[in-house]
Amino acid sequence: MERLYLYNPDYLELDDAYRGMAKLEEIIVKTPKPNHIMRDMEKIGFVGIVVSIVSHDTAVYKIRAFKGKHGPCHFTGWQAAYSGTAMMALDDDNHLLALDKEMSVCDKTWQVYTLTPYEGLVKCRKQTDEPDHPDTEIQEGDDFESSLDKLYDRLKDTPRDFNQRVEMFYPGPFRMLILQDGSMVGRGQWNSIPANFAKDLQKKDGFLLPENKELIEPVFFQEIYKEQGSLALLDDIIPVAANKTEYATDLTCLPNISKTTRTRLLKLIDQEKKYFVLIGNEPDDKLGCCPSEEVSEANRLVKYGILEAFGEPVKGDSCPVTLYSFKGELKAGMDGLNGEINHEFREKVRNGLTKVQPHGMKRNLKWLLLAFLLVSIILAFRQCYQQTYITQDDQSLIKLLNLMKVNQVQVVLFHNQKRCFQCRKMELHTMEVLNASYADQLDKGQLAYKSIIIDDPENFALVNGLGIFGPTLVLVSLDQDNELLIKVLFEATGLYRDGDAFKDYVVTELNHFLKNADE
Amino acid sequence: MHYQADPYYFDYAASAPPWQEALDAFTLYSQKFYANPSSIHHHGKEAKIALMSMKKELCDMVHFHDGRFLLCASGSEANNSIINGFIKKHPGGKILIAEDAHDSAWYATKAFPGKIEILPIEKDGQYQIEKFEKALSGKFSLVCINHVCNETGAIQPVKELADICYRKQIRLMIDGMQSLGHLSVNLNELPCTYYTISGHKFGAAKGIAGVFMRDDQIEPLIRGGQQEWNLRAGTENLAGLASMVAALKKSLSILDEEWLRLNELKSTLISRIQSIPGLLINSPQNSLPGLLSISIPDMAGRAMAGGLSISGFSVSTGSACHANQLEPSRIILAMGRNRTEAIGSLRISMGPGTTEEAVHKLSDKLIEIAN
Repeated sequence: MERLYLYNPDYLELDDAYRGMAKLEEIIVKTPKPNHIMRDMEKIGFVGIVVSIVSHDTAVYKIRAFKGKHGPCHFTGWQAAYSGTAMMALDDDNHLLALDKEMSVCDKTWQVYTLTPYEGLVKCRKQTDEPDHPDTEIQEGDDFESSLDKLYDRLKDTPRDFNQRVEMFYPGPFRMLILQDGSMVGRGQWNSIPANFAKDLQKKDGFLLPENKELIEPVFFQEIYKEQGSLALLDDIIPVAANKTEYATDLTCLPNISKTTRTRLLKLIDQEKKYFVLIGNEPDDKLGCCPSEEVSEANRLVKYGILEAFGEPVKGDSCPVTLYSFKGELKAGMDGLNGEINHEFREKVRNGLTKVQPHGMKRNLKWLLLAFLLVSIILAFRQCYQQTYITQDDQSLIKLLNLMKVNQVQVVLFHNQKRCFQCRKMELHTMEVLNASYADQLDKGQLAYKSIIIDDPENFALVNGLGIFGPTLVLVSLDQDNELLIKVLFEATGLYRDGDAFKDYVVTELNHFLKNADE
Repeated sequence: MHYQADPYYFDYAASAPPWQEALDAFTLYSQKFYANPSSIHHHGKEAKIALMSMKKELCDMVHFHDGRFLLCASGSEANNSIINGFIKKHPGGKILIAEDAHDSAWYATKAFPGKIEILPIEKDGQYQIEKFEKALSGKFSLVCINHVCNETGAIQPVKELADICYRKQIRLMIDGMQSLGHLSVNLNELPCTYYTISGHKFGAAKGIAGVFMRDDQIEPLIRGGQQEWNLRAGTENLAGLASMVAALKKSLSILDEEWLRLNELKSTLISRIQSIPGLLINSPQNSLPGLLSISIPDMAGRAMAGGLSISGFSVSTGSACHANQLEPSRIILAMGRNRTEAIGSLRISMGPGTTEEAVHKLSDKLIEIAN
């Protein structure tokens, strides 16, 4: 791989160099202003930045870095764990790696960790077996805020020891390290370190010992986090309003939000925090980096006029960082985010969150019973009369299903927002069988495939009406009399592990349905 | 700033009238940074800095952070630079070119026979993702597709296609001449290798175009200077670039409202000309709101354009580059239309200067001519 050399470049030169570099190509910059250049490099999107001192006498520093990651995220089973001395390490793409704790990373992030600066500091391993429930895995970006919360809980009572410390220079490649006593360590600078860690930090993480360095004031995570929240770790972010549209507030969606988001919002209210930060992209954006269900749900709350989103200007091809606050509380300005807590609005949200739970449970129970009844009726009906169709003329269902063409048969996969192994397999088998056996009908528009998210509030009526509560395949069609024909392929759900059986079953049912839809 | 354009001008896809802001930027940069950016004196350095800043601003507007912008003088030069330059650098591989490509890319099918294979379009003028994936084998080293077809306005599924190329590690060139400034382009989410654009299609001064490129695997088309990282010799057109940045800024600022307005105008136009016997709409549902391609069988598009021109309306027969040829439109033929239908094709393209009144008058005149 080629290597590019620059001496003390300005921002435009560095930016131009980055644009012209090949993926993961190396650059070496010599400069007397390491912090200034390092900040520019971080902003432009360089990764694996390591600062070393060329000469103490002339104060010349060498910065080694690499062009960041490119293209869409693909998760193929790579796991990465930090294996240095600190408790946590924050990389240039805002991945927070805990010591010896594996995190699922995309191929692009894995490639970055194979670069030489991470050698011996990040262990990568490919998970060979496909997990049964991959949804339970931690994926990159998913747990930034919660990891920091846990870290704070762990460190908040740790005594801050100002004695027996030593000054050490941290070259990188991580942007920041947090040590076991909460000491925060920044790259490319001298830091105050507890003396008992010095040896290991020097050996494993490449820290340098000072030559007659003056004493430096230590910085503790527990103090900074209490004051500033997670933005303290993302100090270069200049938030700008991410949502241009102002949405009207609708609190009725609160019963349907996930437990994680409910807890997050209540915590925001209880602890009088002004914001929370999420890292990642909408999972539906298949070219976006770090798909995150939490981001997706927070964005829905923005559309319901409950939250407001602030994003950082995009940096290289990194995972987007989004900061969420309650609507109307914060404003983005030149000096960052400013504003006051709106206690009245928060109280309304709290009421929505707390009151709805029993009601929500009751309602869910009601729907569950109704769904159970519906399924029982359908099964009994099928059992007794071999009749398998439900017909309804509900225009709202037709609208939701977007059934435009008469006699077009739609094969619809209902799945949860958080995709699981089972629904992915069902989708794969379905697509295979449709492409193999029904290509002609698909081309002519007589047959179409679509997927519908079960837990999207907009789909609740449809989902509940069909009695669906997990990944389910459904056949639908609109006949000449504008009547909706629906057939729920309940058995397909159980056959997802056996591809051939699944496909045979779908072919039989679909042929039967197509024939009936034609008549 | 008032937009100086004749409302009877219906040929925005060929060239859009320039924004006043774009002309102001052109004048300002011509006067302020007249030095050659390659010169070593301070005037030259100032021009160089202005050039780099303008390029960065342009790249930021399309969220392009991991590659460079190569300046060219026209869209055709941009497409030629990539295809020709790539074949020279990589003579071994084959190139897949979409059937709806502009002539500046399509020329390669004749210039390099045996090296080119064709990606067909469907009856609705669009690429089929599954067919594309099947066709894309390792023998191809470059794929050339449109973001928006210049003749029908069909918006192609470039995100999906780019993802497939990315996964198969095949370079992709997207011709974005008709898309930039007309729809939202986010190159951070589009993992293509090259994305070509032309300024005058969205209201910049003429003579400025270029390529957003993620690698430099091309041989230069124009030699004799070290400009543009040795990829294109010739003094950089800084004033043109400034006008393109200003035009894009202006176009993006009105993008959402214009999208809705032009969509309404297009619907109005379609509903008003429905009465023309045998009228065929060539533009698919998913097409640019400001572009409508129609065919009137047994009528020559050339004759209709001529008739409309006498009444003050400027429209195009198929692609503007075909205007002096009697051949039927290649793209309309590829959509499954017959020769008569393809000869009877007309491209009506609208923009910020188009008014509802002008649309009404155009439709009345079209009906009159067709009957």
